[in-house]
Amino acid sequence: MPTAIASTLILIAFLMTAAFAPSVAPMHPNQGNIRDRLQAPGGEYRLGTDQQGRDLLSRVIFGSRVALLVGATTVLIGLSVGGLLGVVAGYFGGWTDTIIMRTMDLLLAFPYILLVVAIVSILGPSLQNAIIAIGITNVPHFARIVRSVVIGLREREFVMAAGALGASQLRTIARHVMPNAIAPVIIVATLYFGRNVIAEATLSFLGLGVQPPTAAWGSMVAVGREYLRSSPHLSLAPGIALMFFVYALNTLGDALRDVLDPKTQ
Amino acid sequence: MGTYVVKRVLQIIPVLIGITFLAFLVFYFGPGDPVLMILGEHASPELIERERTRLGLDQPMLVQYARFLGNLAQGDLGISYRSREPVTSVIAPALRATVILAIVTMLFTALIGIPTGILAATNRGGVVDQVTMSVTMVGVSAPAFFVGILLLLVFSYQLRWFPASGMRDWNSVVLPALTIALHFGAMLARMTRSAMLEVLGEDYIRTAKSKGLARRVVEYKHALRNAALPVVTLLGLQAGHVLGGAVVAETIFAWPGLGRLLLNGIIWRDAPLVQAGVIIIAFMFSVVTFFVDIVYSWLNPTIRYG
Amino acid sequence: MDARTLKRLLIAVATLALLTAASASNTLAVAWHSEPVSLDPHYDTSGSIMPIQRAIHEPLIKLSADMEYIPWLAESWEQIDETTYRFSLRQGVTYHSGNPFNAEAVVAFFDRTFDEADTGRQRGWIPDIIGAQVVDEYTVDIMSAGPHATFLDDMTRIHIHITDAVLANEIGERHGSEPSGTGPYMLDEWRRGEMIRMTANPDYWGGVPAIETLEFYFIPEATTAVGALEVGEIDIVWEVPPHEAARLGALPEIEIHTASTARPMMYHFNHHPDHPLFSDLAVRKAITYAIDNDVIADVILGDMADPLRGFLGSNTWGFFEFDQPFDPERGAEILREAGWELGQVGQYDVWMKDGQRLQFTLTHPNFWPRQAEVAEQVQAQLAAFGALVSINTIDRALHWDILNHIRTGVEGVAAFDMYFLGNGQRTRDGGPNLQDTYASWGITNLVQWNNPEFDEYLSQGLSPGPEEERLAAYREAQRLLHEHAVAAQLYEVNLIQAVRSDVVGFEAHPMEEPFWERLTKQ
Repeated sequence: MPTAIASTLILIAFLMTAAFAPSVAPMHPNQGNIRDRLQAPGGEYRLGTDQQGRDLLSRVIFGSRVALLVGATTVLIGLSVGGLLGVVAGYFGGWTDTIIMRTMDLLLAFPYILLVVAIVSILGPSLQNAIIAIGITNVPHFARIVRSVVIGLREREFVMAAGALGASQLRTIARHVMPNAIAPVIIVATLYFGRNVIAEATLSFLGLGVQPPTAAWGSMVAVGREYLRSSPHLSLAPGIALMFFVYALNTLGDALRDVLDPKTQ
Repeated sequence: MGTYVVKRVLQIIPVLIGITFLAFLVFYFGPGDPVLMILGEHASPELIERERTRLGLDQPMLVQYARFLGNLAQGDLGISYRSREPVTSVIAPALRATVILAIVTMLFTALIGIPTGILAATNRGGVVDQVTMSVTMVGVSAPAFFVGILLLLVFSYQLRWFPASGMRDWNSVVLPALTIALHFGAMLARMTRSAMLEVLGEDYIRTAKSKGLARRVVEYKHALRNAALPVVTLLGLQAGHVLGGAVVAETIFAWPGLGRLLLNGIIWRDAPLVQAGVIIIAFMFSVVTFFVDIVYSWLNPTIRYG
Repeated sequence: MDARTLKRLLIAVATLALLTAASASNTLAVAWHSEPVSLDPHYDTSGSIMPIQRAIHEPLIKLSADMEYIPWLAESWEQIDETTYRFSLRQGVTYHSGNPFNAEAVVAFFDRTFDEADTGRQRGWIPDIIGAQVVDEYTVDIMSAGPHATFLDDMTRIHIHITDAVLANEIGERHGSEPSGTGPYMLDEWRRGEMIRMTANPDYWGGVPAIETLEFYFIPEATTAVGALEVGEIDIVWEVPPHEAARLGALPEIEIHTASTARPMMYHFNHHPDHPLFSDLAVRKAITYAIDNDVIADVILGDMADPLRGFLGSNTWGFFEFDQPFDPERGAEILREAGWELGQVGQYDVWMKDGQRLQFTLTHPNFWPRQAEVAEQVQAQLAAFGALVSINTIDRALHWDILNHIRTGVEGVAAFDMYFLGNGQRTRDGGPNLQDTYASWGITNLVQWNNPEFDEYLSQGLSPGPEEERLAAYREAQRLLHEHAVAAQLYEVNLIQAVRSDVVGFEAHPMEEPFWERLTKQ
């Protein structure tokens, strides 16, 4: 599993960079000198400067914070809301199940990016609202997984046995859902983590993402595309960081699936 | 099969109602007043009131929605607030553009994904496998707008092989389709590979091999047919996604598709347009699923629909 | 999918694509950022697409690039009393529908425009005009409500086109997709979301235009439009981003044309008397000293802008220089005199007074070109000065909401602190601009500035009279804007257009008046 180890190391590196961004970054990410704008890489600014004359390297470094924040919080929203709905749907079954799962289908049938755009245009463009919107689109995926785990559990012997012993079935399921759901949830979470970071970047591309002066990879690529012919580093630096990050996440997710879900190996 | 089709069509109705209600809520509770945007900065308050009444926007929420459903039942999708034309005639050209883009995209996706996946699976663990898996992972990880812009730079500006914008020539579709297909194709390749590996590991393939059939025949005839199920599912999902509007590719290459139209519809609070668009997308989604089911039953005759 | 169906599909796709291909030698392709909603200007007066409308529809009078009146559908005119102008119309002109252009047609146009029951938008651009009257077949009187100094300027506005109202009354809103005008081009095909194709009007009164086919392509991404120009898919890009201008201009096959539009961009303060910060003149003044608009115009916007030195575009009639220099030390001094002190908020130095911070929001409608970069720079400049500023980007719908909120007289402080606003009414005379934005009755007076003295001077300036007196009144009105620091000046917009060198006769125009019929291709 050399790729899995490598990607874990890359992710740890990203995590450390984000945690210690102020000491790692050579300059302030939001303060620049406009007269130094659009400088090429090399020289005083190692990766050059952006359209506001800020140090690009420092902004890419600080951008990792937004990426981690977006990825983690969106997945958390999807997992907590979706997980809860999944447990309820799976445990109660019947009408409850039908209503919840049809609503989830509905969210899935709504074109994903249009859904996000619609939510953000109602709430107004900001990082927080982008996170909420992207988180909502994750809900159905987690609900489905957790529900199928719960349904599987309901039919297992130890749950029935617990019921016979008088313990409430729900408590038993609650106790057993966690360990049983953890493998599929982790796999999906790593994949969606990356996908959500890209979604935030796409929102920025459409002009609905993070508000300035916050350094975020997506909005940096989006702004940089205007300068692509004359100063390609504006887009390339954050774009490559973004790809690297998502690549590592996806590779890790794949490796986890191979380990946790032996059927495919 | 006939009853199955009817059932399918009936199944989509509650989804349509739900999805249009969702869209309706978004417009009802969201900020922005379509009337102000229609009338512009110089409209008098009286005129604004009158227009609001004319469009029925002064009615209570549920009355407005019931009216929409009533019209929908009669096949009337309404008039676009912004362009004052029936939404069907606004959507028709965008739908055509989207369908063309979807067909070409899925063709590219299949051409990229399936052979690559098979190649990787048959060389399992080898250099070819490792290289293709790494490359496809890059494809999966790259944001579409990034890929699109790079394609634009290289193949349009530098090499001048393909047009940069619109639907002007027959090859205009290549770059927007490729933007999506590189991502989808990478996903499909990985899916094809793992599906192939799964069936190649199963007993009857080993049996077939031991019976002395040529290795290739075994692989293609048996494995491919069984591995095709998840592959077809993914292709169907992906087709549904492109048909739902490829906003990013459409924006970069000025492709006049459904995604951009609906995005503008949201910006302009053109509720009838967005409602209609969403219905059409949900409908196409069902059509695609339907075709996937048919392919399923053809691939695996044990699946039957009643 | 078997091979046969695959083949059929491929053929179908190829055929479809071929059908959409168009390549005529005598065709001019123009890239446009946005698409019209309707080709009947009655329903669509968005400034950004007016030059497209001008290919089909025409006004009575046009303005030349050096701001002189050009008789167009009217051959001559005279003022017959304080409120009436008499126009002699060009003879032998017909609309594309075959309807004749004459005094009755002009009256029908004004009747339709001023029909209160209708949602037409053109009347908003000529609020002082009340109607027209037939004198004889080719003579028409047009009346204003009162004495009106900018009467003729109103007729030249790019939003005003004498459309074929007789036809429009017959076919109603269909006129938006089957328009009829007197212009040099007739609509041939409109592929929504993609392009509009027009063909030369064989009966055009000014002679058949040299370019047979005129095509407008809607390309939202500037990078894409510029690329299409470079590879020759497009002949003209109507608006080019500033940082591309220099690179494109260096190419032998492309020429860059620029014109100073009369559009000033400013950050307007919220002048509601209860606004916690900006009801204080000292705060407003200090902030105007803290913004370096030379940097914004010269460094960020380059050819696209010049620093604004007053409250109107410098080429507007009635412009007077009232500059707000960049002098943060002077700004700090003013704040200290008013009792503010620099304090520490996190890692930033911020002005404070009685526990209140100098902290506010810049509200930015997202439809202005390059607004995001400007906002970010202003934010940085103000941060360096000691003001904590956040940016709130809003879309068109919210912009209208705010506008309407204020217009309908809702009490209270409106939902913004500083608002990024460009007041470009596009007249030669600056009076209407000042009126709409700053008069207490101004229809786009978002900022709720209400100053009787200003209103008085402005009314004097807008009344007919000797030019020196009107100019003097305009001058006083603008002096008041400056004294009260009504807004922080940013820049005036230049139009940058890129044209392939084989196109002859192109001229950038301050009001974006296009003159499509003058173009030829080598």
